[in-house]
Amino acid sequence: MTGTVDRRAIYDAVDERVDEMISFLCDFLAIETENPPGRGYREGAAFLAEAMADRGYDVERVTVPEVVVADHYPERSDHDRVNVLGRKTAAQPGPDVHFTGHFDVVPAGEDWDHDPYDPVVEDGRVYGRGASDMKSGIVASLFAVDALEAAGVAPRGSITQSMTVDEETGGFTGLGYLVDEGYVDEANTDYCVYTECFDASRVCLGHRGVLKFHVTAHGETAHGCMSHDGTNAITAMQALLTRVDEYEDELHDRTTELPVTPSESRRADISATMIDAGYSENVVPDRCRATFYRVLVPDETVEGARAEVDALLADAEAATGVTFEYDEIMIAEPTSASRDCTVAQTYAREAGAFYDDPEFVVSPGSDDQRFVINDAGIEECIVYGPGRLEQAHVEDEYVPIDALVTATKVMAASTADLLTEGGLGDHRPG
Amino acid sequence: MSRQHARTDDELTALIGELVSLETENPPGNEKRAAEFIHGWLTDRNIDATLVDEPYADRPQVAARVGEGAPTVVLNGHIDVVPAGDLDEWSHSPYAAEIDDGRLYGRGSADMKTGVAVGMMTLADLGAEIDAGDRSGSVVFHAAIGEETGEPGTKTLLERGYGGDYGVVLEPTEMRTATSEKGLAWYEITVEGDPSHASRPGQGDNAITNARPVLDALEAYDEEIADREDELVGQAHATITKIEAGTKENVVPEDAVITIDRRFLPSESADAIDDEIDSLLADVEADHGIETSWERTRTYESAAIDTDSDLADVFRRHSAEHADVSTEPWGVKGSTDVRNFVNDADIEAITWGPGKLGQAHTYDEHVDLAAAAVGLRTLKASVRELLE
Repeated sequence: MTGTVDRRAIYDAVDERVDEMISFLCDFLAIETENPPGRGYREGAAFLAEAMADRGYDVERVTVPEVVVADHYPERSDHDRVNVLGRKTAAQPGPDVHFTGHFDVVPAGEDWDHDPYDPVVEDGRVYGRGASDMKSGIVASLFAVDALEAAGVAPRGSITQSMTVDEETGGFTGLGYLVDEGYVDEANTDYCVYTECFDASRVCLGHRGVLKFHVTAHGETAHGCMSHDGTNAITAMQALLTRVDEYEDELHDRTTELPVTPSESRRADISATMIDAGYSENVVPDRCRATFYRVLVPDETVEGARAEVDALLADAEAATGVTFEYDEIMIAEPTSASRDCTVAQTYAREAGAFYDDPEFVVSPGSDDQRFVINDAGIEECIVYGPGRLEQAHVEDEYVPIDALVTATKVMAASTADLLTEGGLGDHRPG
Repeated sequence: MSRQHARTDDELTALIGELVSLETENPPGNEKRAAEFIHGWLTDRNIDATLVDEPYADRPQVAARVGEGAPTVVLNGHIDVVPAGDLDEWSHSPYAAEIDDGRLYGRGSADMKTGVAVGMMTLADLGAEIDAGDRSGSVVFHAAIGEETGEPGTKTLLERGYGGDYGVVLEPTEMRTATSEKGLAWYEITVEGDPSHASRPGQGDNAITNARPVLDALEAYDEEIADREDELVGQAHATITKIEAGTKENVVPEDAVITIDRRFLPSESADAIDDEIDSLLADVEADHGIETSWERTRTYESAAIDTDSDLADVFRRHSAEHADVSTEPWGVKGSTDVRNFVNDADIEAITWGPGKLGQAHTYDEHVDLAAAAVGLRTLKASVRELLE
C-alpha cells in the first residue's frame, strides 16, 4: 500500500458524516429552485456559497448578465442567474479536479404524496424535488472532500466545486456560461466529474445530442366552401411528415457502438412532438406549425443534422410549392469521453469496491457534460453521481441514502487516487 | 348618377364602414356592439326594432318590422364575423374600414356587413314608403348572431315570430339567386397514441405518426367525393381545417385531433356521411393498427327550394336588369342560414346579396362599393315588386 491513508479511513470519515449529509441535503432540497422559470437561484447560490466558505473554499459567485440570459431565455430574463464556484488549492502543485453539478430542478408538478419542498427521510430514502436530479450529487462531492480532509489525505493540485443553474433548460447560462468565461478550461482543469444522476454503480461517459426545432408551413387561407382556392398548410405539412417518416427510418439505421442506456436508444432518432394548425373549422389554414425532436448519436453533429433537415424542407418545398420556415428551439451537441481515460478508469475501479463490474453507460438524453468536453476541450470528463436516473422528473422523487453514501465514498477515494502521489494503490478493504 | 343616388350611396358606404369597424368576431361571439348600434340606427328612424336576448342574453340580436300587411318579406343578415387571424397578413387593418380604389377593406366587409347594411337601408326606405301609404305589405329585418359557428341565431328569430312569406339571406353571391345551398358538417377525429419522452420515442407511440395515414385517407376521400356533383351547388368536399397534437416539445404526443369541414350536396345527408367517415377510419385502423374515434361537432343540412319559385324569379329579373347578372339557375356553395327558412320554418327563401363569396374569410377581405350600391338598388326594386 502506498500513501499515508487507506480507503478504510476515507470510508469511515464518510460514514461519520451521514447524518450531517442528510440534514444538509434536506436543507438544500427545501430551497425551491424550479426551472423553468428559474426561481430561487440567488437563495440556492447563497446556501452553497456559505457551505463552501465554511469549508475554506475560495468562493466566487458568477451572476450571468441579463443580456446574456435574454439571449437564451427571452421570457425569463428577469430571474437572476447565479452560479457558484469554490476552489481549494494545495501548496504542492498537482492535477486540478473539478466537480460540477446543477442546482436547478424541474417543476414539481402535482400528484405528490410528499411535499416536494418539505423533504422527509423515510425507509432509507430522502424524498423531495431534486433529491436524485441532482442536489444529492452536489452534496456528495462536497462531503467527499470533507471526508478526504478528515481522513488526513493531503492532496496536491486543486479541487474546484461548481454549482450551476439552468441545466434543465439547456445549461447555456449555467455551466455553459462558466466554460464560455474561462472558469473551466484546459489550463485549470485536468479531471472533471459532472455529478448528475446516473446511479452510484455506473460511470457515464457521454450523452446523445438533441436538435429541437419548429417548422411552419405557409399556405394560403380560403373559406372552407371554396377550399380549392386556398393552399392548405396541413396538407403541405403532411408532405413534410411523410419525408420525416422516411428520414426516421434512415436514422434508426444510424446506430452507435457506445453503451447508450437503454440499449434501444443506441441510434439516432426523430419525432414530431407537436403540431398545430387551424383558426376555425371552416377556414383552410394558411399555416401549420410542427415541432420536432431530433436525437443525435455521438458520431453526429448538430450542423450535420441541421443540413439534413434543410434538405428535407427543400424537398418538401419543391414538392408542394409551399414555404417551410425553420425555427430552432434548442441544441445540445452529443459528447463522449473515452472509457480508457484516467478519470473514467479511476471511478470505475473505485466503484468496483462496491459493485461487481460497474457499468460504463452513455445517456440517451443530454446534459451539461458537453460544455466541458466539446467547448472547454477537456477530454477527461465523466458523469458520476448518486441520483437514480429513473427518479429524475418524477413525482415523489427520492434518492436512496445508501447510494448517496456510496457515491460519496467513490468520489472521495477517486479524488485521492487522482490527487495523491501514487494514489491509494490496489488494496481494497473487504 | 342622380343626386339622390349619390347621397344614398354615401350613406351606404358610411353604414358599411360603421358596421365593419365594430369588431364582432365569433368565436368568441362579440356581436353585442353591432346589435346595439343597429338597434339604435333603426330606432332613430322610428322603426320598430327589438334587441332579442335569445338564445343568449349576452349576445343580443336584432329583429325589426315595418308595415302590418301581407305579404311579408324577411331580409336576413348575420352580424358575426370570423376572426381576423394573423394581423401581419393584412395590408389594411381588419377593423379600420379603409377605402382604397373604390373598395372597402375589413373583416366582414363581404361576409356580410354589406348585406346587413343594404338590408337596413332597404327596410328604412321601404318602411317610409309603406308608412306613407305608397306601398302595402311588410318587411322584417334580422341582424342575427352566431352564423359563423352554426348557432341558432336566425332560427330563434324565426321561432320568435319574425318570419314571413319570403326570405332573402343577404350573403354575398354577386347578386346571383341561389335556390339551393350546400350542407356542411364538421367532424373531429381523434387519433390515439401513447406518450413517452422524445429521447426514448420507442417506448411510446407517436399520435402524429399515427395521424399520417388518417390524413392520407382523408385526402383520398376528398378526391373521391369530388366526383359527386350537383347541377347548382357543385362538388362535395372534405377539407382538413385543423390539426392539433402534443403538449410539450420533448414528449411524444398522446393524441392528435383532426378537424374536417365536409361540404355536401342536397342529395347527400349527414347520416350517410357519418357512415362514410366510420368506414374510412375502420379501414385505416385495420391497415395501420391504430386507434381512432370521431364525432360530428356541427351540422348545417343542405337546403333547396324549387328553381322556378316566384321569389327567385323576381330577384333574377331585377339582378339581370340592374347588374347584368345571368338568369341561369344557381346554387350557393357555402352554408347560410337560408336552411333555417326552408327546412325549419318552411318559408320560400333564397340566398342573394352583393359582394363576392370568394372574399369571405380571407385576409384583406373587401367589398366593391359600386357593387354594394347596385345591390341596394336591386334589393329595393325586388322587394317593391314582391310587395305589390
